[in-house]
Amino acid sequence: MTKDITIEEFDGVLARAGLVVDAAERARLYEGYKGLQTLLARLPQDSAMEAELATVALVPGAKVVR
Amino acid sequence: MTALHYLTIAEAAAKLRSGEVTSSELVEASLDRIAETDGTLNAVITLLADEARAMAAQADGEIADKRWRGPLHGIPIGHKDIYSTAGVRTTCHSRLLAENVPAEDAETVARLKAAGAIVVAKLATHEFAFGGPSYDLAWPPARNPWNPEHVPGGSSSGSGAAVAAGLCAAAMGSDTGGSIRSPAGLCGIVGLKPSYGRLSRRGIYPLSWTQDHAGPMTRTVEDGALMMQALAGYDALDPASVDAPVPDFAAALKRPVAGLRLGITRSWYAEAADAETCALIDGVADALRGAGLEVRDIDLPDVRDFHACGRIVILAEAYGIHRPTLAAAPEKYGQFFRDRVRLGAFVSAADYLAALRVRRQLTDATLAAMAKARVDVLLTANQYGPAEPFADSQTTFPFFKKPYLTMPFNVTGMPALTVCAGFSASGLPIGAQLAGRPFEDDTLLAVGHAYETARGDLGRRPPI
Repeated sequence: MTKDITIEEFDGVLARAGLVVDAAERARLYEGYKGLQTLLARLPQDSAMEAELATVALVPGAKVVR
Repeated sequence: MTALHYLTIAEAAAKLRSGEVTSSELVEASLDRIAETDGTLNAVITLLADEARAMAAQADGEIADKRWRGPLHGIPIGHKDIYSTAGVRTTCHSRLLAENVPAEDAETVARLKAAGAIVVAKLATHEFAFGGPSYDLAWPPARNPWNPEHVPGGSSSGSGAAVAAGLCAAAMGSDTGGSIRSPAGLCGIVGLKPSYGRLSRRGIYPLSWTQDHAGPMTRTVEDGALMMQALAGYDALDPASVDAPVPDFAAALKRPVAGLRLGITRSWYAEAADAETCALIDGVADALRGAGLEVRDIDLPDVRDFHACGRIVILAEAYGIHRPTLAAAPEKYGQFFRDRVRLGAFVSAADYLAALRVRRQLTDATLAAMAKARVDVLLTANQYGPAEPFADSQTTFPFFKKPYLTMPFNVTGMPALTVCAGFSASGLPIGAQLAGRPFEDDTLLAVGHAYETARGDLGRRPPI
C-alpha cells in the first residue's frame, strides 16, 4: 500500500485502474484516493492462516460453523 | 384530532375497519398533502394518483365486503425509487434509468401490494442510493420538512421526508451504510434496518450485494412492526434471504421488556457528537431504564474499523455493479456518484478480501462482547448532531469525515432501529439507534416500542 503519492504518481494508479478522467476529476479522485488509503490502513495486513468460510455449494441442510 | 395524512397505520387501519374513514379519503389526503408540500420537499419522483385512486376504490369495496386483508389494507405508502414497480418507471434518481419501466415488482413491493397497501408515489433517493444530495441530476434533491434548508439525510431521502411530512403513512427505504436510519433520524421518524436476510432484496437496485438491506420507514415503531409482518419471509430467489421463522411482530410489542439489558456504546460517539445529542441519548437510556431495562455501558470494537470495513466493501461492490456503464456513459451519472463509485477501482482484490475477513471478525467480536456483558440490545447515537444545511452537504467524499455510526450494523447484519430521541434547540430532530442480535428483530421492536411508550408523543409536526 502506497501513501502520500504525488499526483503524477497517481496518474499511474488511474491508468492501472483503466479510468479515463478529465483534469477536475483527476484532482478530486486524487483526494479520494488519499482518503481511501486511510480506510485501507485500518485493515490488518497479516495473512489468513485459518480456514475461510467456503462460499461454494454446501450440502443441503449443512450448517456453517465458524 | 389528528389530520388524516398524519394518522399512523395502526390508527388508520382501525378507522378503515370500523368504517369511520375510507381508503379513498386517506389516499386523497395523501395526494392533497403531496400537492401542498412537494413543491418545497422534492420527495416525489413519480406520482401515481390515478393508480392509487383506483386501488383505493378497490380496497374500499373489499373492506365493505368483509374482505379486510389486514392493517395495511387501503393504506397509502411510497417506495424509494430503486424498488422495481411493474409498469411504473423506476429511475434510481438517475438519468441512466429515466425511462426504465420494470416488468415485475420487487418482492417486497409485491408483498405490500398483496397486503393491500396502496402506492401513491415513487420517492427521491440519492443517485443509485449513493450519489447525493446532488443538484446535477434530472430531479432535485429531497429536502427536510423540519427545515427545507437542511438535508433530510440519505440515501432514502424522499422516503424520510415523505413520511415525516405526512405525504404517505409509510415508505420503503434501503440501507447499505445507514440509508434508512440516517433520514429516519434527521427527519424525526422511525427507520428499521432488519437483520440481513430477513427481507428480500430481489427487484431492488443493488449498491452492495453483501450489505444491502430493505426496510420500512414509519412514524411509529408499531407501524414498523405492522409493515414487517407483511414484508418478512423467505425468498428463494434472493440468495441472501434466510429461511427463518417469521415472528408475530405486532404481538412482540406487547412482550414485557423489563429485565432486558441495554448496553450503551458511548465510546463510539461521546467525544464527537454534540452535547444535545449526547444528552438526548442519555434520555433514551433513562426512559428505557424507567421501562425496566438494566442499563450499562459496553465496549465494542472501534467504530472506525466498522466504518473502514463497510466502506471498502461498498466501494468494491458498487464499482463492480456500475463499471460497465461508468465506462460506456459516464456523463449520464451525476458527479458525486461518478466520483464516489470510481474509488472502487482502487480497491484491490486483496483489499476486498481483507475487508470481508475483518467483517467476520468484527461481527464475531461484537456478538461476543454482547454475550460477555450479558447485553440484549445496544443503544448508540444515530448521527453526531441534527441535519446539516445543504450548503455544508456538497462534499464529494463525505465518508472520509467522521465514521458513520450506522455502519456497524450493516457490517454485522444485526437489526438496527432508529427512533426520535428529541429535538435540537434549532428545532431539528435527533435520532437514537437501537440494535439487537441477528434475527431478534422482534425483541428490538419491542424495546423500541417500550421507548416510544415511555417517551410519549413528542407533540411536534414539521412546520411545512
